Amino acid sequence: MKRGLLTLLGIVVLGAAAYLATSRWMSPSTPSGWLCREYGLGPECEGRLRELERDYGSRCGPYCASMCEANGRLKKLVIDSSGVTPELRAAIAETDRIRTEARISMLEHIYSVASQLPPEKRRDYLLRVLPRLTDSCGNR
Amino acid sequence: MTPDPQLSSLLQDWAYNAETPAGFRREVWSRIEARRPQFLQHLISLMAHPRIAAATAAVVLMTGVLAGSLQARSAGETLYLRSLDPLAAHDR
Repeated sequence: MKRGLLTLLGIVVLGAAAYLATSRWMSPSTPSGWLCREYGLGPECEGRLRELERDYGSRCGPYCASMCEANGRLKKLVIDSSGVTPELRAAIAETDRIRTEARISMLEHIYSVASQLPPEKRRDYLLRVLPRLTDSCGNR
Repeated sequence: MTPDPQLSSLLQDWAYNAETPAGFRREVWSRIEARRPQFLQHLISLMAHPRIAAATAAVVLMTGVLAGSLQARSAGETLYLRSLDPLAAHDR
């Protein structure tokens, strides 16, 4: 009975250790690491993707600051107003403008990444990435 | 064989009048339940057999590896998609 219990506990620990070790070992350290693993790309391609990733990060960073600022302004106007004023309309339009610019920049980056992939994998990449991104922007 | 009139008379007068104690039925079922091997006990007793234990360990190991790789893949995809969308934090 005791031996069986110890064996059962050992098996449970083994399964948990296998799960944790595999998930840690296979988790990519960078976003492009996942892309390379998923599409079986070589190290030289991974280097180019990392460069694109860095370039995109520097381009899209300012959008976050602008969006924070525009959201703050919009929040203040919504609280202070009792109706849809021209200022409120302008503040909403401003958040939409930033979001549109960010999405265009994002799509440019996606196409840049897709151009680095083998032709037979480009379509799969676009099909996989674009719907998820459009969903994340509020189902537009 | 002719019936014994004395015995017949005795049997006719005899009446069984035993009453079951309160909770008799519940007690019977609880004793049956106590003797029945529980699932975990059954599993533990199975693990005492080396071949069964080895086969179970192999299945659990493979399941752990598979689940871990699926989890890593899913986490990687989420990481990638979040890195693409600079305004994800503002939308949610």
